[in-house]
Amino acid sequence: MKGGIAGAWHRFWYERATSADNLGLVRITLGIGLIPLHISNFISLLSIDPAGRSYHYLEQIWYYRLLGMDQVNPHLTMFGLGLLMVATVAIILGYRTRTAIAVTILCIFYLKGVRDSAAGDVHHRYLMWVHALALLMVSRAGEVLSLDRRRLNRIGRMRPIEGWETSWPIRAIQSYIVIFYCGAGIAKLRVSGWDWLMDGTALQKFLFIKSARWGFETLTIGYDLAQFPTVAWGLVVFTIVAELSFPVLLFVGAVPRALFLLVMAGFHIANGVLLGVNFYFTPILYVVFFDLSKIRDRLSRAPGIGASRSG
Amino acid sequence: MYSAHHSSDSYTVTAMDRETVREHGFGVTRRDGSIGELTATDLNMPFRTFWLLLAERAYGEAPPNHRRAVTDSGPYNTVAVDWPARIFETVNRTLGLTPDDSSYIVELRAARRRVKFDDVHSAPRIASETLDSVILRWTPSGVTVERRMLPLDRPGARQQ
Repeated sequence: MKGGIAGAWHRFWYERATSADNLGLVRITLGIGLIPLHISNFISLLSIDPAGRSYHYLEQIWYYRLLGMDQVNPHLTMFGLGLLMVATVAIILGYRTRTAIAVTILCIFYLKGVRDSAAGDVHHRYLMWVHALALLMVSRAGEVLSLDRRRLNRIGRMRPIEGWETSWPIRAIQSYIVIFYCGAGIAKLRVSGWDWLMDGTALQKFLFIKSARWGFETLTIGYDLAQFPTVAWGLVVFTIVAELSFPVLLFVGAVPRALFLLVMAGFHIANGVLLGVNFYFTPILYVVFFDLSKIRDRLSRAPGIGASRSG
Repeated sequence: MYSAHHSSDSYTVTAMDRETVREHGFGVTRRDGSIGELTATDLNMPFRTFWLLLAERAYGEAPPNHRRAVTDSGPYNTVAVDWPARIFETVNRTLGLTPDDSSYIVELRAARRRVKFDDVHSAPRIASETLDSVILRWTPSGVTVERRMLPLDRPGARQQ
């Protein structure tokens, strides 16, 4: 009955159940990861004087244009920053989780609009995060390891979480991340063809841009790296191969998955340091590829951590 | 942003002086003839955004991820925007000025260094450095752009 493509499809989404705790731990970890992400993305908005002028946007982001929002509201921006932090903490604690996630997404949209509309730059650093949050919002992630669970228990409305309910949200987030990376690789080849892959200039160009941006007195290690075209070409090939290989992650074991993601974490950190590409905190999303409850259990049994506590 | 790339043996990139941008920003001339400066603080705008106006938009350069034109003319084509005119609109509206005001900003001046890297495929080196200045002038009928490129004597301190 469950043979063939339909069966495999069903098993992929619903039968790779992890513990319910894993879903809660993913919510908590992503929530913790969001804090530095918010800070790194929106810290520049703190320089806006709430009592100062309201600057008019140079080029509104599409939804600002749609809503007719053509100038910053300094008070609302400061309120949005505060609300974003409070809502994110609520996600971590699992307090009114669905509302907290909805408010967080709304604040991200608003603040991203303030930042990106000022000069017309559009950044995609939150794409994977917002999709992950939206999927957690419609799942039961808020009913595990949370204050919501306590409340539901107290009023007698807590019902058991089925295996399929823990499986699909994690699988959906994994799939989205995989599609995101693979899509980035395809986009490079689609838009630029072999130009992106035939030599190291795709990387060297950005190394020059970043190195020289604030003058030669501040030239970085990136400038030195750009002096080696063959190394740059190797890194370009690595980028394309790694991005296109992401779907394989869904079908391999934990060890190769961990090694691959460790390398990708290094890739993002190197991009941040050398190119100024602020995807520093993206690797935190990779926790969805692991069963965090098993890691927690192992850690709790490890000597000096859980053993001493229980002993 | 990173998907659009043309392979070439030379690239020209922009270099700015952070403190100059922060402290002086744009040079401005007002309708009454008075001159001055316009900084990020004057506009209550984050510095990270302001320098893009000064180093890119003033020169008519669109953001890397700017919206695409709804045509099949190719992936590199973006919607045509008169960025210099937008800057006048942004700064004057932010300062609450209309064209009738005597302090309406009618001229904006900016400067940046352009550094050219040659022989990128073999032994990358800094080939030349240019002072690229721009003067944007507002008139009721539109904005005019005047560019001046001045070669600098001693390109890149780290040149081999």
